Amino acid sequence: MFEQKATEWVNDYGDMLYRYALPRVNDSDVAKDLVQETFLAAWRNISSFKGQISEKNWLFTILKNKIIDHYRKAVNRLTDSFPGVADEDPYFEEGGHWSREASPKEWGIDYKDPIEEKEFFQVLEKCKSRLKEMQNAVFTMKYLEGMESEEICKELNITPSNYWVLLHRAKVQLRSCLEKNWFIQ
Amino acid sequence: MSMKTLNISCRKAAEFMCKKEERSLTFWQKFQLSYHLLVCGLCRRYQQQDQWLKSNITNVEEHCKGCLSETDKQQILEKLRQNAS
Repeated sequence: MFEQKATEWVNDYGDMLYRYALPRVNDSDVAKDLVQETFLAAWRNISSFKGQISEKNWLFTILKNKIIDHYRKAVNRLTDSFPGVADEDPYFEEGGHWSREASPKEWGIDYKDPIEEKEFFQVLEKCKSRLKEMQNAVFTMKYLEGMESEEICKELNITPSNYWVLLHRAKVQLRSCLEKNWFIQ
Repeated sequence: MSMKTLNISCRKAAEFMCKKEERSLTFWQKFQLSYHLLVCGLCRRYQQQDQWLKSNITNVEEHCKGCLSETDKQQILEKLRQNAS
């Protein structure tokens, strides 16, 4: 029973779960660990799985919680690296105007069209991995998981002002990185 | 009302755009943002790109090429076996 179920899980859902985790944590070892922890947690709780949702969705729910746990641990480790609101911000000049290097350039695309090229997502992954861990956490929870700021602040135990600074900086940095590495090379 | 209080910086405008998504702006801040976008082409462009980006990254997993190697899968299975017994 065990051997069959475990093999089925790992073969059917392993890659799927891994591909979900990887762009969210930007580290293949961490992503692998999270997938493993997901299966372990699922196995421990298999008796409570009543089948109201599909097995796949159940595993994804566990993985999503594991990802947020991973971010939470990062916050506890990194509380001293929060940006102050008045900290230096390389993307803007002192008066708050776009710095010359970071000012948005024309991308030459139709903004109504979705991106088709697969390579774009590799650049996105690379740019995302350059975000500070905390920036990546709030950005991912907000835009990939679709969570609201209040929920994110509660989960990560951070103040709203820290949250807004982290999110805003993550977005400005990511935009700039994509511009330099994809749109205008 | 002076122009100084009406006009906000680009950095502030980008912050306000973030907050606007969650309806976290006051009436006056919304007005300041609208005015800034009216006079600042760079921030209008930023807004457009920001919105494009948000709508194009929601399903990153569908484009992720990574997969677990056979060894990874065997290791996970081994770990499961250890914990099951």
